[in-house]
Order: sequence, then C-alpha cells, then structure tokens
Amino acid sequence: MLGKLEELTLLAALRAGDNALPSQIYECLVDSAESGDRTAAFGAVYTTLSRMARKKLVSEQQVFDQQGRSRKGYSVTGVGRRAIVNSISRLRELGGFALTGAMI
Amino acid sequence: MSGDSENADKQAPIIRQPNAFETHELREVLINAVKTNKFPLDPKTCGVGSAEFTADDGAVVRYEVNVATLRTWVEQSFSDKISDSLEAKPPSSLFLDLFMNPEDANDANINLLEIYAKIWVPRHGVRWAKRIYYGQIARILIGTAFDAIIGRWEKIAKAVRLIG
Repeated sequence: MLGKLEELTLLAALRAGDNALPSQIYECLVDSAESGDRTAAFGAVYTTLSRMARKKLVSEQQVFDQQGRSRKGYSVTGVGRRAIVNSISRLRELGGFALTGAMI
Repeated sequence: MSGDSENADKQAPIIRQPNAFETHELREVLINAVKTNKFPLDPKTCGVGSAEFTADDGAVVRYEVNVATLRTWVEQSFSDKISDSLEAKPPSSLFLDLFMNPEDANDANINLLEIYAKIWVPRHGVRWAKRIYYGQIARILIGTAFDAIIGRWEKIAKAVRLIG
C-alpha cells in the first residue's frame, strides 16, 4: 500500500515523464500545488524516490543533463503504475471523492 | 488671456521637498555622485550635500542631506554590495560530501542547487533560500540513514520469516 507522499511523488513522476530528474519531479509537485498550500519538502521527495526505487515502484537510470553531468533519472515502472491505479481505485470505492465533496 | 498664460509659464518654478519615492531616488543620485567623485567626500568635509531635479509637475525638487549622513549611506551601500555578492555564492555542500558517497552527494547537490536557483531564491530570497537548502541537506542525510536502518531491519525480518 502506498503512503500519501509516495502517491504524490509517483503522480508527479508520471507527469514529469520518463527519466525525469528529481528536481523536475519536485517542480511538478510544486507547480501542481495551489498557492498557499504546503508542498512536500525536497529532501523528503528525494529520499522517497530512492526508497521507491528499492521497492521497484520506479526505476533508476543514469542520465546526462544539458551540462553533461551524470545524474539519476527516474521512470515509473509497471509495478508503480499498478500501485497508483490500485490506490486511486480504493479511494474511489470508499467514496472518498464524493464524501469529501471534491467531485460530484 | 494669452499674455497672462505666457507670464504664468515664465514664473519661477516652485521648490518643494521630495516625496518618499523621490527621496529614495535622490539618495541614490547623491551616493553615486560620491562614488564617481562628482561630490568629493573626504573625512574633513562637513556641511550639507544636496541634489535636485525637475519633477513631472514642473516643480524643482530639492533634497539636502547632512554630509555625515551621506557618508554613512555610502559606506552602507558598499557593505550591502559586499554582502550581496557573498550571498550570491551557491551554498556549500560540505555535509553531503562528508556523509554520503561521492556519486550520491554530487547528484543530491546538483538537484538541490537547481531547486535553490529556480524555486527557493525567487520565492524566499537568498537568505531564506540558503536556510532551506541546509535544512534539506539535513533532511536528505537523516532520511537516507533512516532508510538504511529500515532496509536492514526488513532484511532481518524476511530472514526470520523464512527460517520460521
């Protein structure tokens, strides 16, 4: 079962695309937050990505940025996609969206 | 009628005190005058320094300042510049280098610097951005150590389950 931060980080990684750098994933998280909302700390996101790589929810590749520096890039794996779908389905089955008035 | 308006145009301009915005501008003019030696300010100088300009409403705005105050402003502007240039330096990654393996430390530092420049500095200013940067270094180090402990614990638990 995914934690809330794992869920958000996975969704941000999906949005950032394949071989996304941690800074790009974090930018997606920050951009998606409404102004005034608290966003997760970068340190938490960075360690969550490493943890999820060990759980095979994301895969870690060596990529080179525009300056030619070696970096860690992350892509969401099939296991990660299934986990996020299960998490959202469970939330829907429990009536989470309707109960909180987030969706009619 | 037209003669009256011509006379009005030729009237001496009104000299007035600057408003807050104009004061700030004239203060900069005076500081620059000192820095470019247009207004020499040796230690023996005393009295009053002044600057003036014609505002949009046609009035001559005159600003006078005590030379001692002006000297303080100039010194302050120099020290502000020095502290700005010191703060513009990227923060140190010493703790990452000390406690992580070089590859991971380098990767974490590049990511932190990117976010520092793109998000934290524009949103919070250099001083706060540096505090956030160091806070996140601590968070990464603690998180990595905690994950390592949990990882070992999970391995032990798995082994115990297999034996049991």
